This record gives sequence, structure tokens and C-alpha cells, in this order.
Amino acid sequence: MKTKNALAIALSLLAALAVAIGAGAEATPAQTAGPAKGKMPGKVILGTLADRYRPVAFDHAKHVGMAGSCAECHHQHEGDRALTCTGCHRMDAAVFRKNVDLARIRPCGGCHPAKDNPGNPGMPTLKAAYHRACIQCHRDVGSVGKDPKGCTETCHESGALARAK
Amino acid sequence: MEKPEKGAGGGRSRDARGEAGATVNRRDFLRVVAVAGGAAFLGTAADAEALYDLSGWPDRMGMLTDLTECVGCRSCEAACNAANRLPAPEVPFDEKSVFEQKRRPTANAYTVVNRYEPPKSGNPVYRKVQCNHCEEPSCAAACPVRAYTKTPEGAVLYDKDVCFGCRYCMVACPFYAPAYDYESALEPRVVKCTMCHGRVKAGGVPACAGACPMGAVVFGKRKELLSVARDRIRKHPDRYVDRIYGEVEAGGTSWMYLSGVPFGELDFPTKLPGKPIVENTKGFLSAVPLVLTLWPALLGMCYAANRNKEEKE
Repeated sequence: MKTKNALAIALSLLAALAVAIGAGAEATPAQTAGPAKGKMPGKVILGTLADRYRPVAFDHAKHVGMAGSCAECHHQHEGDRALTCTGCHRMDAAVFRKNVDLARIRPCGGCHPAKDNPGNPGMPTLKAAYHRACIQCHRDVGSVGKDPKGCTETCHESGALARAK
Repeated sequence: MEKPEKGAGGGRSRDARGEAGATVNRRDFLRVVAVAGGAAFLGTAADAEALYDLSGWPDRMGMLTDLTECVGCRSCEAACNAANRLPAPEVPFDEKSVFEQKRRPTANAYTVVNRYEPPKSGNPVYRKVQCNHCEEPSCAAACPVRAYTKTPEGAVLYDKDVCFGCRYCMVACPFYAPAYDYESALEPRVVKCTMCHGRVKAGGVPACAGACPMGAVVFGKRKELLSVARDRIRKHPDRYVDRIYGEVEAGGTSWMYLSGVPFGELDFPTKLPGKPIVENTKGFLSAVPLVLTLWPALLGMCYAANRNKEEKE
């Protein structure tokens, strides 16, 4: 998924989606996804944090194919995070591996707080979590992460929204 | 303070011990003299000690900038500008041409981001520059009128009402942080980052930290930030150089940094001593009032005694 091909695909897809900064909550699965238990979201509108830019239309389904593993973004297993196994898995040891409860995989906002929390500086805010997750792969696309204008190349629309308010 | 004195001051101390008793150490002696002599000057020596002791403020705050996360969007600059009601910049904050030269904080920009392209780094590295809010600030030590204060919240604040514009602080700062408002003819002042002291007191976070989209600038208790930083280095040894800049540099700073390339390649001063810069001069300076008040008296006594002798002869 980190090949140039994949990145080119990602770029074109995302450009088509006209994703905006907003970096809102993925907690609101969009119309197409449907909150059916055990189903991954399709398109997700990330809008709860939208400030300078319009909400981001994130095509979750497209990224699933490219990411290789859910843990690329849903990094619950990383390090020594204190999450319970049953948060995502039904604990039937016999079929444990095949038994991930997709409906219970946490969206970014499930752990990352929307507001700044000086009391826990080790936990990135939701805004930071979104940007890190996206830029981790997209930083090599165009000038994303290389100059201030790269923001609007792949994800964000222009800043007209906030200034209009 | 306990270092051996050099030159005249040392000689004076030894004499003093002879007078005041061998068990009295130098610090006690200073206090005795301060009381006995009523020398208001000596207050400065005692306060210099207090400045050094931060043990009473274990919860002082700090900032951690992770240079591997920064993407150079300059949101922090824009947020700082708005929070401090600074004049609009000549070039807008989404303009990348500013990276063509290395900038310093100015009276109209308390923080600036510079771009570096180290040879071994694939992506450019962006370095945010502002006052580092030293644990023991040399600007405060250099200031003749005490315009600088280290606050329990961690910020080093400047008071323009007492400043008379000598700009010693600008010379003393190892990070070139304080800037001078040359534009204002009537009320010139030194300006620098305040770590958004007002916002912090009100329970908020500094504007730049709140604005950073990457979480590259994080606000929290200094000791917690240190542990966060150590944790990141431990988990990603291939991503970071094994150093937290600001942990010990110049005696430690409130603002600390993680980097993926050696700090020297990003114009960080890397040869700063691991102790407060104030230490270089504190021993000497605290002896100055003592010498100035006691030497004339003692030498005068010697002179008087000798003159009496001469007169008798």
C-alpha cells in the first residue's frame, strides 16, 4: 500500500472526494455505510471539528483495500495501551482470530479527545490523530507536508468556510 | 554558590572566616553581613539563590515540539498572531516563500517556523522558534531592573513597565529569543513569547499548541512531557535522535524538542552547558556588593591604623 501506485490511486481518489480539513468525527457513518453491526463504514463525513475547512468526506472502504491492515489506523494493539480485548473481540478462544467485531473497532474519536487536554499530553488530540494518520501515507503525495499549500492538494478545500462564518 | 571564589572575593571570605569563626560557612557569613551591615545590596545575592530553586514548583508547565511531526503549515504562527493581537503579516501565513530565509522572532511575530533540508532526511524539517522559557533564565539574571520573572506556571514573563531598554536580555539569551520593538519611538520594548500565560492561567493551552494540526506542539506539565518524550524515543529509536533538547541545555528549558536529525543541523545551539548560564557569573556577582561595601571599610581601617602609627612615630 505504500507503493507509488497505491499512492497515486489514493491521491486521485481523495482529490475526487474533495476532502476538506474539518477532520470531523468518524463517529457519524454516512448514509451509504449504515451502522449495521459487523459492517465497516463506507464513506464517512468527518465534520465535528470542521473549522477552517468544510467537513472531510473520507472514503473508508477505499482505504481498507489499500491499508493492508486495520491496525494501520486503528492502532489499538500498539504498545501498551490499556484497552480491553473484549472491546473489539468476542472472547471465544476457538475462533478468536476470525471473530473481530467490526462494529466495535473504535473510531479515532473513541480514544482521541476532541479538545486539548493538558492533563494527558501523551494522547494526541483528535485533530492531531486525523492528520497524523492521513499524512503518514500522504506526505509523499505532491507537496503534502512539504509546504503550507499542500493542505489543499489532497484533502482540504480552501479556507472559505471559516472566514465566511 | 559554593564554588571557590576567585581573586579578591576569595581572599575576603577567608579573612571573614577568621573573624566570624571557623565553623561559619560563606553563605551564613553573607547573611550575617547582610544583617549587620544593613546592606540592601545583598538582597540580590539571596534572591539569586531563590531563582535557582524550582523544587517548589513541581507542576510547572512546559511545551514539547516534535520536529518529526511538523509539516510547516504555519498554523502556529497564525494562531500566535491572533492570540496576541499582533499586526497582520506582510505575507500571508499560507505563503511558503518565507522559508527561503531563516527568520527570527520579531516584535510582530513571537514565533516563526524555519525550514531545513538536512541531507539525510527525506522530507524537509521544520523548526518552530520562540522563547524557550528557561528553567533559570539568563535574561532574568542579566536584567538590571528585574523586568523578567519566572512564573510557577513555567513561563518567563517580561514587564515593560520597569524595562528601560538596555537590551542586556537580548545579549544574554542563548536562543536569541527576545526581540526589540524598534518601530515604536516613544515606548520601545522587548517582546517575546509569553507561553500564552493568560490563557494558561484561565485553564487553556497556548494558542500555537491548540492550533497545531499535527499535535507537533504539545502543552503539559514539564515532567510529564519529559516522560512522553522519553517514551517516544524508546518506542521509535529509528525515528528520533536520542536526545531531548531542552532537558538539560542551559539548565533546562520549559520548551523541549524531539528531532529525527541531529539538532546541530537545525541551528540549535548544541554546545550550551548543561547547567544554568547564570551559574557562570552568579558567584562573582554575588560577591560584588560584599566587596564594594566591606573593602572600603576595611582598607579605611588599615589606613587609619597605619596613619595613627605614623603620627605616633
